[in-house]
Amino acid sequence: MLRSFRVANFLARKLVARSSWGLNFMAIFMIVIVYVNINFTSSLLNGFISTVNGKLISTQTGNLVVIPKNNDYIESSVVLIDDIRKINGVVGATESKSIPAELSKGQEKSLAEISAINPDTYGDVFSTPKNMIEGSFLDSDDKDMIVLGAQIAGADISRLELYSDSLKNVHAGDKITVDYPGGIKKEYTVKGIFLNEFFESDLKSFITKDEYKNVFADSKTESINVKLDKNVPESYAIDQIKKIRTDLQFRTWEERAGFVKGFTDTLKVVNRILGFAAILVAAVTIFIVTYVDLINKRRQIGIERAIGISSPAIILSYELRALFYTVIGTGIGSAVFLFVVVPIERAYPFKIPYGKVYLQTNLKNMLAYIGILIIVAIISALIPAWRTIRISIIDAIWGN
Amino acid sequence: MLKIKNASKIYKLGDVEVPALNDVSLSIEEGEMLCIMGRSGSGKSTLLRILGLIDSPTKGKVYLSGKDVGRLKEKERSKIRLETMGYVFQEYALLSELTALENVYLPAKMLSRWPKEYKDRAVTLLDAVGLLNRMKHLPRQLSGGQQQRVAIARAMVNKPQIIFADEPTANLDSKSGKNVMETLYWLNKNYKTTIVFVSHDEADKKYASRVIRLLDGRITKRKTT
Repeated sequence: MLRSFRVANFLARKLVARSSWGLNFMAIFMIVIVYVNINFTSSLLNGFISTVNGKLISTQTGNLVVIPKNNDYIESSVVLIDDIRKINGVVGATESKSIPAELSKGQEKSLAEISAINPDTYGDVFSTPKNMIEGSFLDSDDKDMIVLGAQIAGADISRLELYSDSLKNVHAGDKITVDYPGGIKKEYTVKGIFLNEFFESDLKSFITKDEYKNVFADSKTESINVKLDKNVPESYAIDQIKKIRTDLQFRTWEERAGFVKGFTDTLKVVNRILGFAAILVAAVTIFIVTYVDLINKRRQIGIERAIGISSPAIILSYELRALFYTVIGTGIGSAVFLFVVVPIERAYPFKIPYGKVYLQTNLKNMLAYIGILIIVAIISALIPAWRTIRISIIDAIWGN
Repeated sequence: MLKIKNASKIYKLGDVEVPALNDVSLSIEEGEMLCIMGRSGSGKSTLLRILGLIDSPTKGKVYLSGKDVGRLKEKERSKIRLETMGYVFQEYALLSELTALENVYLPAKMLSRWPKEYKDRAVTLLDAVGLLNRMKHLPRQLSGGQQQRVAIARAMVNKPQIIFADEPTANLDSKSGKNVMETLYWLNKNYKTTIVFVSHDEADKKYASRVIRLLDGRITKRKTT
């Protein structure tokens, strides 16, 4: 066995070193293309998913939503928020209470969810205050002021998905009327308009907590949104908060994802299908290259067998050659992907309705694809090599 | 040492059966140089391939040192070919990616553990066939005659009991052909290696200790020279 391996290794080295450089180049180039393609497709879809999830977290839910277990509101929420902020790994926490309302300006009307927030802490959790396209975000002492999502205001941006249902031409400084449940009607000045490029959150409108208290004589907190450090798992934060209070329940951003979850789950399935298809293409390509090469080498293999070189040694020599092409091809492919494709894409990212999509590389996935391609290469080389070995020596050397 | 008894070979071409060898019995003694002659299609190459365990007879038996080897599995036949036989084909059957030296020592690499041992032996053999200065050349850089002499050195590298040569001079000019035949003759005389060669050139029979002639798959003449 060891001698067969030694002979196979010797033959494989000579096959590679003294084959035409064109053949070697093509075989390696093909693996490079296949490997970059698999990683590109996978990273792009992961980037897409990451962008959508990132938008969801940064504009809609935070990492964690804390809600009351038995009541409609969270008791002593100010103290609780302070305690949550002290937990290791918590970046920020902010409270909110939402109420449906009808907004109108002139003849245009639009239904929206108005959230009463604390402007001092809202920016610790959400990026909305940074995404103002007109005016500015709320300050804690603002009264009779409202901030609108672009999908509500319209702001004369006709490309918006829900522009036709918006107020169409409301801008910062305009006055609008808000009809709350219970017949409460109030006029507000639009302090600013934001565009998160995530239409679910761009349908929101904000007033301050104090403004809500003025209107409804109520300052109770309905939920607390918590932002965590990148590597802190939600389960850890939940455990820590449970130690502080027991009258709470928790929803992770994934549980609150709603339609986004269905969307990203579909993308994950598409990602798997495309990955499988790319690997299948790789397998067929490696198979064809090896098969065509082996047809040309049939006589040579017949001679090797006639002079006593064992069949396993001959098969192994082609396996080792395929392995060499795959290792070199995936090595070069990794370098091309990480140091050429990814930087170029970072400089010129794809733009989707949810924002910019950056390739999301994953070392574990990249290594897994190398492993899969190596296995595919071994099988793809084995089949034609084994078939060639099964032909009689007479047919291999002298046959057509 | 090598014997075939009542061997027949029928090739099937679709539904048509083509007899290539018909009830041939032959015994090859150690140290002899046997020439198999005959016209094209007479069955001489088929007989050589059956003797050399590259092919199996449809009927009949093949004995090597008294053991029936005609129906062994390919793996066992391969081992016998490697350890006890050497081949020189009509075409220049060298591996194109290997140098002359590498071509010679490749079969020895399957048997020997020590690279120095088989490399030294390959160099000695290349020297013996007059190609020491060509050992680093690839087959395409050698003439037809030189390639055949490399093939002879390769056939000798595992110190085989018997060498089979299938029309080794057929594709060579007369000078190169003579050179190849003299090399085989020299091996037979100096190393006492048994040699069985096929030829259609009457001039080659002078190198043989025995000549057999085939016609339509049957031995028609046996002559000791």
